[in-house]
This record gives sequence, C-alpha cells and structure tokens, in this order.
Amino acid sequence: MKNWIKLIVITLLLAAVIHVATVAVLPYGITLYTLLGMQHRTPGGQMNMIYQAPPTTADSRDVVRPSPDLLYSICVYEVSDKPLHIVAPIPDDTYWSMSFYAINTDNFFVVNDRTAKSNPADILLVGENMPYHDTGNSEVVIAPSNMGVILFRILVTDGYG
Amino acid sequence: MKSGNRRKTIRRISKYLLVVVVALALGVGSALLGVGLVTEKDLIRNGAWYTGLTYGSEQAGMYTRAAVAIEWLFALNRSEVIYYMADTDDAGQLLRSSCDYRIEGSSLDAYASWWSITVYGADNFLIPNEQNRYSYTNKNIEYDEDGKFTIFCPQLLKRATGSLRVIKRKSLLLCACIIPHHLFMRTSILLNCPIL
Repeated sequence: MKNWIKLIVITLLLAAVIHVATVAVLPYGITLYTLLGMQHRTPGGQMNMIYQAPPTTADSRDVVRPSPDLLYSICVYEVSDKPLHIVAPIPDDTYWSMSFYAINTDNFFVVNDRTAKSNPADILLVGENMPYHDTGNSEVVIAPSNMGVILFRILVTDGYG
Repeated sequence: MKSGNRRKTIRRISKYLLVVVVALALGVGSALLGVGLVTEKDLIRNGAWYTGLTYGSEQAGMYTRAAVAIEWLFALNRSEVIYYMADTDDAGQLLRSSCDYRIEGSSLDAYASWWSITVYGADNFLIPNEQNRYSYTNKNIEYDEDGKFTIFCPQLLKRATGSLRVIKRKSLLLCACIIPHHLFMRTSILLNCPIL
C-alpha cells in the first residue's frame, strides 16, 4: 500500500515538472521550428536575408492566421556575432510596419509608417550586451534573444482581401 | 533464484516506465489544457467578440506565450493592432460551415485607420473559396445611410464545405484593427447566425 502511495506521489511530482517544462518550452520550440522553415525560403537558406512572401491565400501555411490584406516580407535574424543594420523604404499612403519578434514570441519592437523617425527607416538591431558602433543615424534596438524574426507588413487594398 | 531476480527487475522497470508514461500524459495534457484555461482569464469579452490583453507583449506570462505560439505566432502587440476574435455566434454556438452568418456593425473608422474582418478555419488558416475572398476591410465594405454595414458570410463558409475537412469542426472570425494611438476600443459589431 505504502509503495503505491509513493508511486502516485512520484507520478504527480513528475507530471508537475513536465507540465511546467512543456508550458515553458512550447513557445521556443514552435517559434524555432517556424523560423527554421522560414529560413529555408531565403536564397541559400541564410539568416539575415529578406524573403518576400507571395500574396496571402488559403495556400499560405507558414504562420497561423495570416492576414489576406497584408503583404509580408520575412527576415530571420541572428545577431550573436554582429549587429544587423536594416534600411527599409516606407511606401506612401498605406500602412507599413516592421515588427521584431524574439524566440519566446515577444513582439519587442514595432515601427510603422507613422512612427518611423525617418524614411527610409534605419534600424540597428543589436544582441544583448554586445558592443556596437553607433553611427548616429540609426535607431538602436536591443534584441532580447540572438535569434528571432523581423516581419515587414504592407497593407494592400487592391482587389479582394 | 536468478529467474526470480530477473522477474523482480522487470517488474520494477515496468513500474517506473508506467510512472513515466502516466506522468508524461498528465504533464503534457494538463499543460495544453492549462494554456487554454489560464489565458482565458486574460481575455475581455464584448458579446461574441473577445480580445487578449497581453498577446505578443513582453508582459505576457508563460501560459500566454505558449498560447501565442500555438494560435497567435507573430501577432502584433496592442500598441500596434487590436485583434478581436469570435468563434461563436451571439447565441454562444460555435461557428460552423453548415451555418450562414450575418455580421452587422458600425464603422470603426473613427478609432482605426484600417480594420479588417477575416474568416479562418479551425486550423487557423484561410478557407479556400472560388472568389479568393478572405476578408472585408474598411477599404472595400459598403455602408448604408446610417453608416452601418452588413456582411453575409455564406460565400466564405459554405463554399468551403467538403473541400477542407477541418472547418467542419469550427471556424473563427477575426477583426484586426490597426490603431493610430494607444487606445482601448470596444467594438459594436453584432454576430448573428440565422440559417438562411
């Protein structure tokens, strides 16, 4: 009888540990899996390269709940060795944004056509605790994780959504 | 004697294997269930519509982050966009491809520079249809004299019936509003589910 109680307690304790580990690891696992899939879309499967996704349709299966009204460009970043300098022209008269996501799903920085300090937008993405040379022209953004993704969104209003 | 020892060892290993398997099932199952239940607390509702307060934000807890990874990966945070969702009609019934839906509402243009209503299948992807029409936005919707709009959804849902297995379970309506300022907004959109 004592043995059974011991086994049940061990099972519950182990289940509690697995519960916490699953919840904690899930965001990293799903994000990493998605990022690696996106990375393979760039020429040569390289990091820090921009991939222009085709217009969103029912066949778009990279990321859940894609917006059919937006055109997406994707850049999987990796800033453990050196910062990433991004210069992006902002289109007129439509919504545009550049959003940065950490490996834990946090959307840690967004700039859009209204909030951008310059056109083209000029961002220097730097890894945490990494020394960098500030040119003075770029807005410096500290990445909470060395790997993540930058999504460029442009609202397209022609045709159906 | 040797055979008795072996039997004992096998019994012990089986016992611990059973412990591991049960703990795995309990741990992973309760984690997935917990993600849904805990994030439910983080939602605010207005009729059939609901929205999360910390989706995509750095203030999100680990349960919210897990929920975002499963259903909201790369969603924008609330400083940029507010996402309103509805997976039931006004009567609380799950949205289904066997129903026709009518969405009535007023213009949100006073609050949002752009807004869009999109239908997703239960797999969280767009539903195939002949017109390749997946959403209505403030750029292509028509208003009546009182500034109200009505969207009929049979074309979006019914045409997909049979062509996409997953949407038979349930569907999701998503209203995404790009907001020019940090602004909290309650939508006045109504959701009806008459069988037309």
